[in-house]
Amino acid sequence: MTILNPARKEELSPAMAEIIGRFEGDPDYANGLQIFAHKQEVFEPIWNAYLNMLENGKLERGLKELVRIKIAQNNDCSAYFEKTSLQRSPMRPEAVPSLTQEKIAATNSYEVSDILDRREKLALKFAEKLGIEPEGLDDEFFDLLREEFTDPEIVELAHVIAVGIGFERFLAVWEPRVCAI
Amino acid sequence: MDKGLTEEKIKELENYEVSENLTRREKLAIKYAEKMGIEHQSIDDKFFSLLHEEFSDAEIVEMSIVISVCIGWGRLLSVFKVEED
Repeated sequence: MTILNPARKEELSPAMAEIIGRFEGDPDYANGLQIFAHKQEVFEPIWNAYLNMLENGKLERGLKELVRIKIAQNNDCSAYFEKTSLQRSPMRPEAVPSLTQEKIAATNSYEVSDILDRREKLALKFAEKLGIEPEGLDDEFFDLLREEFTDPEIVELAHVIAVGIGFERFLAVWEPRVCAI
Repeated sequence: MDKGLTEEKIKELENYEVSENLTRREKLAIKYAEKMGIEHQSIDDKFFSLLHEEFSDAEIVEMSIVISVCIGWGRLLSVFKVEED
């Protein structure tokens, strides 16, 4: 059920229509984005900045996608998201060759995974802690992060996580079938 | 400071539900932010019906974007200890 009505198509700016158009094969997700279109002048730059963070930057794309998946799981969207995350990503699946279904499945119990490396596990831990218990992110944890990431990489990772935590829970509430931004 | 926002109102955020200075519209907005930050799974149709008594869809979306930015980056700033500098 959709709690909020999507903006009407004739109200969409060309830029917002283009954003939504990337998900024409995924009507639930497109519907969720169309709700944000009620304030498209605010949403567009945020989305484009988010997309820029995902598609560019210093970190591997697959790592950032894993983090997004973890955030979705922690908002009770895992069953749906695991099946569709590659199709749902604003990044094209072919652009993320390192992200496999095996890795996606491993995010559930990432701490004991043999598939995920230490860098990926720490990134997932960072996302999990910031979403659930940010007070648990202490100096000791940041020391661990620094063994695998530079400061600019940590900042990039933190921004991906922050935007994911902030926005995806709205989609989870507005449109439970969407769950993740 | 924007119109309508006073030190008295800010002080009452902690116990906003019983405040006599905050309007019903303000209380609902604060409740929305609180639920989204702490227990978003508890937001149901009934709560959205209440929101719709005071806000349009576009206003709810605008408020949501503000809340989402505060939830995401607010946590980040607290973790990065920006406030201490």
